[in-house]
Amino acid sequence: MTRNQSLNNPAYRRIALGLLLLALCTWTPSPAFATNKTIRAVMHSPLRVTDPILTTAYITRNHGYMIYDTLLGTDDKFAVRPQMADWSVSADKLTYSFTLRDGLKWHDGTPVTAADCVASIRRWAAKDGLGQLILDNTETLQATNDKTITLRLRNPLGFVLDAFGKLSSYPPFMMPKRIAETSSDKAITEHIGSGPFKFSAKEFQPGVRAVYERNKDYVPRPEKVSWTAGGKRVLVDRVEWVVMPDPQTQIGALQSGEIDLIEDIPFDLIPTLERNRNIQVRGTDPLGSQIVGRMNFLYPPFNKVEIRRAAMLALNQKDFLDALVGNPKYYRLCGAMFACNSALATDIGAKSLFSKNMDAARKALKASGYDGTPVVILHPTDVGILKTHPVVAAQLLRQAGFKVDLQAMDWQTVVSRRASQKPPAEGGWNMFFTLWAGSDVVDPLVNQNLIGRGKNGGWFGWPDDPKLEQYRAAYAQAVTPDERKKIAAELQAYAYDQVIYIPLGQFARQTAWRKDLTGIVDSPIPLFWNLDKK
Amino acid sequence: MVLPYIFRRLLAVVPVMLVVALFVFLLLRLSPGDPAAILAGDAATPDQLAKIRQALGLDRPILVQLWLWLRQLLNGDLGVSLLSGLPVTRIIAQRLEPTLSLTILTMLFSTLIAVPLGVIAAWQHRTITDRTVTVLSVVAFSVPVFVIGYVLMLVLAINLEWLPVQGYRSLSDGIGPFLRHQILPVLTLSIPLIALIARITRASMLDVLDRDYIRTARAKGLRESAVLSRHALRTASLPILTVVGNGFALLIGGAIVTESVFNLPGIGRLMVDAVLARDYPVIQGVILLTSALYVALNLAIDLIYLILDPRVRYQ
Repeated sequence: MTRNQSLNNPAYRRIALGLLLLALCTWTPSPAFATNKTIRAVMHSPLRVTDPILTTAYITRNHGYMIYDTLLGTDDKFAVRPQMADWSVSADKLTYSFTLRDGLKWHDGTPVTAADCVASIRRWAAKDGLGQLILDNTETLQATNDKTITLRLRNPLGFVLDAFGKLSSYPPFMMPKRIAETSSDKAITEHIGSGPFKFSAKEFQPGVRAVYERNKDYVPRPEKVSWTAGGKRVLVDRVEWVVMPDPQTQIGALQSGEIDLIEDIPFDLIPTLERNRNIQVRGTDPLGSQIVGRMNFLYPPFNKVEIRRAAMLALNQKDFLDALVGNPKYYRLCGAMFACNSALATDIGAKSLFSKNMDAARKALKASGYDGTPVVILHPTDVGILKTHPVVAAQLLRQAGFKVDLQAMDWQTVVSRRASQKPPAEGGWNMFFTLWAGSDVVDPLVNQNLIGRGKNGGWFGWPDDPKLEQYRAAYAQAVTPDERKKIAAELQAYAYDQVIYIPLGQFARQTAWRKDLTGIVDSPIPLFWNLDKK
Repeated sequence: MVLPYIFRRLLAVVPVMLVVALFVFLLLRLSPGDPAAILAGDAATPDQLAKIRQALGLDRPILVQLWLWLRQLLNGDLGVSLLSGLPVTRIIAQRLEPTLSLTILTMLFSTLIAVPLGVIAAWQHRTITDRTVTVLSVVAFSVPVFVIGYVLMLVLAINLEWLPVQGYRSLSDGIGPFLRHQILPVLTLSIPLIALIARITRASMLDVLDRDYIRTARAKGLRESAVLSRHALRTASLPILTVVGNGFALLIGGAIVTESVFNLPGIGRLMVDAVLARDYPVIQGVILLTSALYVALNLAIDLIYLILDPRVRYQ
């Protein structure tokens, strides 16, 4: 058969036609198929729980900021500013009046009322530590009229405004009354806020994507945006949070323009992105994240302060940060329990963490009467950003003379097991490591590591230390910034002396985005207002 | 003869599913992990954890929880996700389409390529063609799937920009976008499968091609293509069918690595996410569904045996 004959063969022609059709139907001009402005972002974790009062998960908090609004906001000077409401305080500091601004509407079109906000505050306060302290001191909390919320306290408290403008874990988000009346231990099923975005519940696929649409009825404040304060101007039509489990795929998708932003990129992949001139890589959270080592105060060996001090001497921040981050450009040695860059930042009591003190640690351990009880360290192996700390700690503690039992498990087992108050040999533990966002440790009241209420009411590790609670109470009463700073510094010095927990360095998570995305707001919370896409 | 057999097989599904349900339920409850802790988040206090555990009913005795779940199951209700609060059936339904698409396309593509390759290798036994097919299939089967995936992604998506890097587009978005997003994952999964099926086909064909009836067919003057396809391949097809059927079942259960690399929201990823989050109702739902599919596929394969080989009889 000649070439011409083969081309005339009907079978060949059918195959050629089929291939042509296949090529035509699989061809699309570009992966950016939407005509409206849509930002596709890969966040640090998938959104699963959608009730921001049910969980402290950061992704749910971020979801909360998308669709809900707060009465007050916090700006980059740590100053509380009006957001949904302005306020006034009586001369005796006992009565706070919050007045809602005009034009506030829920996503279902109904107006926001003071009664809605009172119900929201009650639901939030049932869960949040600061909220509970306020409610415990509250004489009355009521809607005086449709626009005014009045809070009357029994004793003056210095942190009321900070609590209503708090940035992280359990921010006081406002919801319609019928939703806010749901028990705080039960998930809400309707997602209606008054925030700058609306949640598209019908498009929500847990573990796949969450979709937010611009709230066209939202009236932003006139001021310039700064953290959660100021005008929340939405400049795009949609934001999609796409879940992408594989970091290599995330990088590829960002390079090809299939996504616009990755909230948190692994440090080892940063050089690949920095070489791409269409992509910007930068840390956007000025408070960063802290590595924290926490000991169990209930059982030997860490029920003894001398042994805790020896352990702290053995650990130094640089080793932990080098193992996790590597490049010093992205980390800093930081002894501030209330986060470096915060209003209360001080290194008091942290000196030993900045250098290697192995000889001193060995001597201290010998003098402490340590009897060789194994230290059970929980080692999560499935989360990249959490798996290096236990290994570094185990090595340093062994060098100091501790006997260490490093137990490998997944992070969710760590989360469950650290709640166990049983002895280490029966499923308990002696030490675990975690990360705290700087915004979650910025003062003695939000920093849960410093709760001294022991087994009933303390955070995992359960130090029972009335003096810690006295410091926290004094801070709660303090009104002037100088007074607060002084108490915070004293508390930090005391906490280091008692080794309540060990801050092991601060680092800035790196965010990457395509340069056609403009208006990124540096903030402890990833914010999607003010963002525009060319 | 066949209908009573099918009926008996379908009846046997009930105890199988019951055992699977019991096993999964108890395994999850006895393994470490606490959904309440995961739901509450890192900063939750022990008090808050206890309240959430109570609200979810996780503080009840295991047998009570089991009874409530079985009762729900008998009503055709798989429950709701502990984390998102969405119905498990809805979550699984959302994930079925990507998995089924990937599975069907992969099996079709692999079989269409692998069977002719295996037949040609057997027909050209001990020639350079046979050796090339054998060596390539060993290499293709030995390379990990994620390596194949990353290499294809780097070359075809990132460097050449011919295809999207990741994601899934539903058939309802149009055949074009659907196929564009399927090409890389299907190729990735197909490479080792083609190797496997080609080797099985070759071995099975070699076994058949030496038999007397093949020699007779050739002696009668039948065309070689007819000998291979109508006489040899039909007899050799039973082991191939077994491999294809098992491959199908395995992919339905989740091609976890491929789904992760190409960001396909399929059953495999759902399962991994649910296990990591200890979302009991979702894990139970997915395992029940995949078990049912396994049973159904096995039955289908057994029935296809009957069609391909009339000598097969079931009691």
